[in-house]
Amino acid sequence: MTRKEAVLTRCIEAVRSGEATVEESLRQCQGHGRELEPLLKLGANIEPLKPVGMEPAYKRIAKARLLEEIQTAGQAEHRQPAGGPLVSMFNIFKQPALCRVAVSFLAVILLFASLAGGTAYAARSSLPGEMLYPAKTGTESLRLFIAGGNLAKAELSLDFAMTRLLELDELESGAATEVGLALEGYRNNLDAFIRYATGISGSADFYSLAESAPDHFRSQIEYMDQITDSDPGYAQQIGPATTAGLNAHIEFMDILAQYDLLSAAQINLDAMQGRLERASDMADRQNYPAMQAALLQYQQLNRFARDLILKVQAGDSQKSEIESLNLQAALQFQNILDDMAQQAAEEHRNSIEASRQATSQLQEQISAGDGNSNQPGEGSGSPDARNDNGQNPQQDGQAKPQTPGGTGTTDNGSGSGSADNPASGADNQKPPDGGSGSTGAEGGNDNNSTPPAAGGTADNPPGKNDEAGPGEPPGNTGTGYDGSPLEGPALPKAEDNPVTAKMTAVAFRR
Amino acid sequence: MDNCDGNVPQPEIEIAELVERARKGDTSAFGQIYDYYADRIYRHILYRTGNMEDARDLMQEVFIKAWKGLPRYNPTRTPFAGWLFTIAHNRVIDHYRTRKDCDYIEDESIIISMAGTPEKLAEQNFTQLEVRKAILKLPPEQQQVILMKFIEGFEYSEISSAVQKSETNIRVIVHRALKKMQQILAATGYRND
Repeated sequence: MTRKEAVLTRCIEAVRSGEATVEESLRQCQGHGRELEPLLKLGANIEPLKPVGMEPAYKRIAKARLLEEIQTAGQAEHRQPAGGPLVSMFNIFKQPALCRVAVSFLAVILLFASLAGGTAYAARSSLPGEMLYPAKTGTESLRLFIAGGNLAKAELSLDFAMTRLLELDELESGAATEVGLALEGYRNNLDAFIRYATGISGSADFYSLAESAPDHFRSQIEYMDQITDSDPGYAQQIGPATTAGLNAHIEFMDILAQYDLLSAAQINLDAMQGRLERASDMADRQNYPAMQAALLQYQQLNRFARDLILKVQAGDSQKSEIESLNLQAALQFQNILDDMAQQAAEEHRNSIEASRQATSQLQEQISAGDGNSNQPGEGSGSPDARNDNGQNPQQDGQAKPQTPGGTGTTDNGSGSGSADNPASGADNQKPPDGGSGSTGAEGGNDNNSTPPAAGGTADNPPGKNDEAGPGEPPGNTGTGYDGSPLEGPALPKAEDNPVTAKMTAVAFRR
Repeated sequence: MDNCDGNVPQPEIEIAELVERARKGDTSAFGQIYDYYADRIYRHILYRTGNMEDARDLMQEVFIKAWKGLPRYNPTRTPFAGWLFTIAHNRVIDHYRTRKDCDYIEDESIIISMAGTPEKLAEQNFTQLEVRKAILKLPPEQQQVILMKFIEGFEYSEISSAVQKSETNIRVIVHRALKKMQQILAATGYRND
């Protein structure tokens, strides 16, 4: 390197870092000033890149696709043990007697492997209804089988669930059978996720899962929103999948709530806000069916929030913090709903009003619990919560907002309300595998033993849900969860656990 | 190297740990690496292609290539970021090699600044647009070095490791590249005052 190149790069550094002006730097150029001046100015003038990034939603989806891709394609070639098996293999080839046998054996293995591997590779991009699709799902089952531990299996199940949604996006909205296959697969993947999550509930692995799972659910719900937005013809078919996704989210939060009520409450409130923002956005675009769908999801999450409050009020060290969080959020939710009510056309305000009342009930439940610690089994469960069942008879084609087993019944054991409203689906759901029953619901929640596992919609084909009124977006009603706590080992609280302590998932944003 | 955009800066050791885990096949660690670098790689490619769709596709390919190449990656020889940017650089070159029909500069919004007075802004933006065009006309190696140094903010030592040339060589390349850019700009009538 000649001296002027070193001088130039040093001077540019000085100007770009602000240590010197161009003029000051030129004075240091010692004879090269005239020649280097334009280059110095040019170098100093090149601006760093603007901090433009991808849209967060796109980034999440892209990440999901990437991870899916590398898991299916890259894993096999990624880890080749260094030396060991290869060395042994070469030792075999050093023995002539074994060599021929080994070569024949290898040839057969290679033949089968190439056939199976080739099929698996070709099946990667297959869609439901195609010839190679069973090979694809078979490969997934195999991967689940060989995955080590419930954490890995749970994570894989979530990845596979996303794969089903990606398939859904590739299918034509009119291909009912194929879409049905993808939806069934999606629900099965979510069921499997809950099963594996339950298997590790309370362990360090579970906390690790709790950090990532809400993000997965958020991505999935957002992705379904996107599919619906891009092709409204999909709304009817996607509805049950959204319901299944929401149910799985709530089931998972319910397990988390056993060990960390604060985190569960935070994640749920974020999810509620996400759904409200979605509803508000849809209202702005005058897409009222989508607005109603999002509001129903909000109401479902709201019921879960009230259920959590009941649990908190039964005695939790973080009662005041959780109640305060909920109160603040409820105020914010009311503001969003007020704005929506002002802007929405008259005939679409009933579902907004139902959401407002649900939010009010959350606020009232918190107020009612102040200074009155409800105990499970006392049946205190707030008269307001039970009133859910009889309110808002005139929503815009919407099912009556109900307080399913969660709020009024499950913890309090009163059994009223939910058992009387089996069609809500909230009480029809069996507890996740591995968790057995409830602590206080035996009195009235007879429907707990009734399938389907993935929420009340599993047996309800799109558009055939009894609860859905004529104007309701299909497939978004009849949902719910089993609010009963699952059995599991006693575990430390969130504040003792660094994983959950830093968990700040924001779920279900638009 | 500077931290990525608005993200919380992560200590190099944490990235190194993630890379090590990813090398052993940990996809979740690779997912975190993706979270950290995706925006930056995307921006880099968008700067060079000017096409958002292409940038998204190429970025995915870069990470897939990175995953596949991780077992061969030697952390003691090259900083991970430099290695990743080199993959991105090569992938963009391949992209243009195979798709000669595509337009180099479609979307210039990535370099349009929105701060300052209107007059100053117009001048700055014009300058940066011209500079970008000039950079994109450089030979691949010079382009990579200029981008890494002036656009991405890498240190000379990092560029040196990434492109497998000595720091001295890198400084020579910078000098030549700036001279070349000056010629390109002069040919378009642009004055660098």
